[in-house]
Amino acid sequence: MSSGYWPWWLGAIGLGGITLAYFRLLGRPFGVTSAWSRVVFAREEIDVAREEARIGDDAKAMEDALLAATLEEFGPAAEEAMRKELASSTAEGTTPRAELAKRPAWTESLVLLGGIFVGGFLAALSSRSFGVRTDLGPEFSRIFGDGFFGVAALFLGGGLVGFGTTMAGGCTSGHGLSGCSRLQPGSLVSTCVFLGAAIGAAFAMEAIAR
Amino acid sequence: MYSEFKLKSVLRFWQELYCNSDFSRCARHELSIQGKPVPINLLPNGKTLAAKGGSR
Repeated sequence: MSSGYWPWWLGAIGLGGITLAYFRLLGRPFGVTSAWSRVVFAREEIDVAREEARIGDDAKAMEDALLAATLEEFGPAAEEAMRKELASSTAEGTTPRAELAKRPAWTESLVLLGGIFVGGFLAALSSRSFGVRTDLGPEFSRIFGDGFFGVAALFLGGGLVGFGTTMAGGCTSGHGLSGCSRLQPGSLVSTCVFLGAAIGAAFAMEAIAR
Repeated sequence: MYSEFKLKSVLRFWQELYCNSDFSRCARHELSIQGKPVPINLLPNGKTLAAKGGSR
């Protein structure tokens, strides 16, 4: 606590709890990058939500449309497979039912992002380390310097983070917390690359700054 | 799309051609990697399922 940070184990419990609670409450994996994307593309989210509201709960009509589109795309082979499945499920009394999933409102992502700022603020207050600063600490200044180069390094770093997370389809929260906890191969690889690249970059910067 | 529709034999055709094969030409994948919302009625071939049946 003396450094102003919470104990590592308390942070780990908090992050694990948030990941579980988010999935439990909203039915989708926790991820900050996807939350940013949904807010950035809010206009598209609204348009899609409007279109889906127009479709309404008429899942049966959508299923019929899907069947027609599948026949158009794949021809007789699809028709044969569909007929077999329908015959089999009817015989078993388990006729497939269509069910349209509800799209979470994009404003949920806005609340998540707002919560990150509020949580950080409350954590700083509780550890009595809150204060307005115009620098990123002596370690950042030692490596990147102050003034223009420091600001340029921040912009470059931010741009690389945005570029990398878009390429990887997620960031440390989405891949590291949600993906690794579900043993998703892509997330395991992504997280290894994130951490490996971060450790390598830290060593490289330290060597250059000497 | 795959979680919304229950007729698995139908979905399998789309999955084989677009998910398990050349997913780079899947319209849903394309929107997804851009971080944009993917409408439930967008087919992998880029056509949109119409509410009153058929696609456009």
